Amino acid sequence: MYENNTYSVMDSFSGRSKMQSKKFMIIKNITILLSIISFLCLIMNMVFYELIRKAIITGTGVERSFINAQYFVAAAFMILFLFHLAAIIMILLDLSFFKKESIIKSFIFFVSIISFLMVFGDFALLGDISKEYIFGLPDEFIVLYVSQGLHFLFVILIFLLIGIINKKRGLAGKEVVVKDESVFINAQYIGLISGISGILFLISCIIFLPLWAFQKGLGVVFLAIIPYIIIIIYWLAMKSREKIREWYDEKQFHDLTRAALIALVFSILFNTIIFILDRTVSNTDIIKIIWFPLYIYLAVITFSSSMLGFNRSGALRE
Amino acid sequence: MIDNFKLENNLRKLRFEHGEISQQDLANAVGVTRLTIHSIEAGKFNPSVTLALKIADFFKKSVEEIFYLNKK
Repeated sequence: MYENNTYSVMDSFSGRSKMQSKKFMIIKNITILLSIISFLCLIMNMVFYELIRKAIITGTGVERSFINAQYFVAAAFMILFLFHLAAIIMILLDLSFFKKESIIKSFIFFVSIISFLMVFGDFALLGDISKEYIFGLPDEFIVLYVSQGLHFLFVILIFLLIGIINKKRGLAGKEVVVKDESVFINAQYIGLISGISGILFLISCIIFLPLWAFQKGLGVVFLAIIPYIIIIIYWLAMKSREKIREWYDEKQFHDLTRAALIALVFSILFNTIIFILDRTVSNTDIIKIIWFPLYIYLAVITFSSSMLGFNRSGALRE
Repeated sequence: MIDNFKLENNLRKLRFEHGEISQQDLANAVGVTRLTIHSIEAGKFNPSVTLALKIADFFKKSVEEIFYLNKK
């Protein structure tokens, strides 16, 4: 009974696998082309940003620098935007096509989303710089250069990923997998990375920013959770084709319930501590600001690390 | 009451006897993930009755020929 079902599933998998392979190769080639152009655009943008920064410092030729740079920088933004989109699609297709859990690919996905969001941030920063330069060198340049560093890192990581994909190309789609959990496991890796990054960013903001500035820009603290939300939505979109009772096999469900129990215990403990601190500590301004992002990131870390821990027993190849 | 019994199995041996099928192939046949089959073989996860029956049906054996209780 199972042999007939397995062969008919395997036949349909073979056909679907070829179609997925073709789609994946097209996206990969587009990403390679855009990554090379983006790398050159980033170098060009850095030259223009330095030109503008030096013009602001010396106080001469600022307007001319802005006029010279604007069209090139605008074109570079478009290319960077398209590159990020293509790269993110390629990473998602890679995760579902190769059906392998990989912390490296999960980290690259995390960086891809943050870098993509920073492209919009760059746009806003340049807008602020163009308005504030009259008062001297704006602090936005520091954030802008950090953002460019992140974009450079992302381009290099994409080159690395393409190298890994090309190396393992022969293995793609050869093994038929009827019930796959690699996207779910990669989502937990991304959850762990998001949680840890979010906590580190939160701590940096507490240390380096005055409280009023931190409170004003609190929304930025939640950026690190966006990659996790996106991968979970992607996983749900993949699963939407199946019946809910088929989303997990019995071991996955077993691991999920245990991880959820641990996350519940953590939630109760964390909220109890916050409640006690709120009642006993005199100055609770900082607690009132940070408790929610701290709770979100610690809850994600707790759940994701529990799932990965329980899953680890099956992580070794036969 | 302390549980003195551990569920063990001949799954790995049966896979090799049946044309050296991989954990993935067995997983595909019974509708679970490869990690579930690995966990069962390693004794880290006990299958449900349904899954045990599906595995037994796949190998054309009874459940007792594949899974057995061992006193700790």
